[in-house]
Amino acid sequence: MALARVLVIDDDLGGATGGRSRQREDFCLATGLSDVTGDVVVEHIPDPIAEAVFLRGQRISSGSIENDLDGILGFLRDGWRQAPRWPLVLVDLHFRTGRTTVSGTAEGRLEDRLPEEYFGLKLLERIGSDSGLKDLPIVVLSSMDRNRIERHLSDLGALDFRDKSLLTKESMGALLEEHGLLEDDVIVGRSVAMLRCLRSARRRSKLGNDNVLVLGETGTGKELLARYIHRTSGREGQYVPLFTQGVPETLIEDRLFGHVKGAYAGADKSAPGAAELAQQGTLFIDEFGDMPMAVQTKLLRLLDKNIRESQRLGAPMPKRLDVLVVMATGVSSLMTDGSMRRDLMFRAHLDSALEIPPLRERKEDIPILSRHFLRKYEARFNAEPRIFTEEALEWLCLRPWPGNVRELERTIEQAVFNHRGLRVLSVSHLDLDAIASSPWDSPRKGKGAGSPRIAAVESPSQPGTLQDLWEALKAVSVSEVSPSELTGSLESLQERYADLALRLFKAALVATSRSTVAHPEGEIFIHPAMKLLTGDSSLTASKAADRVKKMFAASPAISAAMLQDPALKTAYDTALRLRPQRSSRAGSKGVS
Amino acid sequence: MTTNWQQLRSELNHDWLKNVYLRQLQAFVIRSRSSRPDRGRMREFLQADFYAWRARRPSIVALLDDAERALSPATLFDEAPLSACAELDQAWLRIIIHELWLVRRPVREWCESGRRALEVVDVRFEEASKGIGCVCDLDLEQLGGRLGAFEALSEAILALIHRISAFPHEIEVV
Repeated sequence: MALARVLVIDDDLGGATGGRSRQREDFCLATGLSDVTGDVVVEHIPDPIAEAVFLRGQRISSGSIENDLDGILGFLRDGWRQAPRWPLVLVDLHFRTGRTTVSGTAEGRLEDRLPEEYFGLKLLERIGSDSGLKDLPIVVLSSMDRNRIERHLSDLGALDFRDKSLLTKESMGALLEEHGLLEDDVIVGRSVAMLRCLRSARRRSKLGNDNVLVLGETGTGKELLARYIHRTSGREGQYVPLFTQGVPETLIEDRLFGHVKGAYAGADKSAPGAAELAQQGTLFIDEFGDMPMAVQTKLLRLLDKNIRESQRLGAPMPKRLDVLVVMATGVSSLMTDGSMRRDLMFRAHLDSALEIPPLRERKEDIPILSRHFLRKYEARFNAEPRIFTEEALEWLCLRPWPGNVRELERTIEQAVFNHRGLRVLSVSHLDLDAIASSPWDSPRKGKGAGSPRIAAVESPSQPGTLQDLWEALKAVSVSEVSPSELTGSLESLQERYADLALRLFKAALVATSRSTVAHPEGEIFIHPAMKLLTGDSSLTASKAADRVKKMFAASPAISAAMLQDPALKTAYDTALRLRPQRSSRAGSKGVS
Repeated sequence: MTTNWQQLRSELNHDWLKNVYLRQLQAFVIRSRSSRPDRGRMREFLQADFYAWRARRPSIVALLDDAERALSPATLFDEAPLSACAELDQAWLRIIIHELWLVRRPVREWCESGRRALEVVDVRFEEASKGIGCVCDLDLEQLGGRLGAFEALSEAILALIHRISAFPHEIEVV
């Protein structure tokens, strides 16, 4: 993953003499920063944790060194408008001015050392009043005594203060991590919008067990943010997600609060709900905005942080809990249509909800996210390591992504899965719309070349769509072809069918998967997936398993390739487990 | 006078000890452990930077020796308006104010603790310098076994920095 870049404004570290800056070299070595300023020869930094641009912030004229406030602000404005922006700026406090000494440094004036006159504070003040630099995240980096300027620091909007002389690689790493600038296995992104959201999330996670409401469009990663909040909260208990989409109203209450034995017909033993399982941890409630009215009433006592009570169905008494409750919903779901109790919205802290920015508002994250997903799916599909062409990255950045990060991830997953042997991904590998409309029936050389329509079904190595299959089938039925040509094309046709059917089935598996503690990326269920695929709501689980096996049996070659996909492999294994007595063609031909 | 002391402290403690010497020492240890050490930079340190302690040490001693006098509220008589007091009054007032200040503030303990920290630095410095050997050879293997002495020196310097930083930043009126 690309390293984050920080800007360091410091008279000592920013200066250089004779193409070298020994102080900067020592600083970079000790803190693990890789100097990318470009004004000096740099030393090799083993395993750097971030890149740094150094700025002296002073001008030298007539043998005197003076601070250059306007120069710094101009540099900041220019840099802040274009990528790669610095998601973090480290600012020194004490800048030495005055006559230039033989070593090239300033002699220093008495006022430079007066806390109320620190140049760093003046710089903070100007940045704070500059509307173009409103969101610039600043950490003061100084070895001066902070006690004397503590009040100024908070007044001027500095996020943090670090003792420059005591910074090590570990403490710099902690600082970067605190500001969301180290590689994260949960949330990926360094755009200002995302970093602001993460900063708010970290603050909220540390406010004890107060409720947190997360708002965001579909696919923005609301559940990931909930996990992030749990992780940064330091709570000892586990993270328990509750997904209510598609769950019958009557079951939501049971899933949330649990039940005691005999609470209802079929409740043959007591079971805790998600709230109890999250004791001392974090409870995540997805689709909070669609919560049934009956459950909303019971939720009131759980969401009241001074009460935090959960009562199992059929239990005589409620139980007090210590949980952090994170709720998520789409922005539109909380429109005041009367379906949400006002007191519940009040307790959910609607007024201070965390809003995850949609991908179109954090486009500078798209290259980082894309490379992250590329590595993820290369590993998952055991595919060749690859890169994007510049055009491909540009294309990714220009798309509107209405389905947000989830849509971006799916696009890259498909691109890797469909082209496992490639080492470079171009626009044509990513643009699924273009692929769908591309002419599959272009004449091919060799077998079937004389019959373009039959040739269309001969290369199952390329992905296709239902439309392609339909066109190919029509061609087979109406073309004037010889029986031998027709027979020769059947196997290809079967492969095409298997390829398309299994791709659609994969999509249905993903669509019906559910995130659980054991399967945070989604647990696979073949029954609902097959129901979705066939539109047959009366389909039984065993019939669904049979259909899965039949799909895999259509083409052993395609099945073998498709079974490298973990979701399809899980589905196939599940089908075999459910219906072991009837061996499939795929199974009998050694597909595993 | 007090301003001069504060300025001297800032130059010695903040500008040099904290931001230059300690950082150089730490960087030297990291370079010595690196698989691709910058030998030129290491030689520079061992030939010149390291021995800067000996050159700066007398100034630090003087800083500690002068702290009680320079930080005393008695120095307020050096400036207006108290400098306008009659010399006879100033003579006894200076003594009383200084003594009262010493009762309220453990200044002598601060100075003593600073001197002790300085002595530890001296010891650690000598221990580290014994392991340097011939700089032109820069035997990294031999140096590797002596890095503990440089780390101990870093720690001693850090302790001295804390002691010097603990002195007040302005004259405290008692």
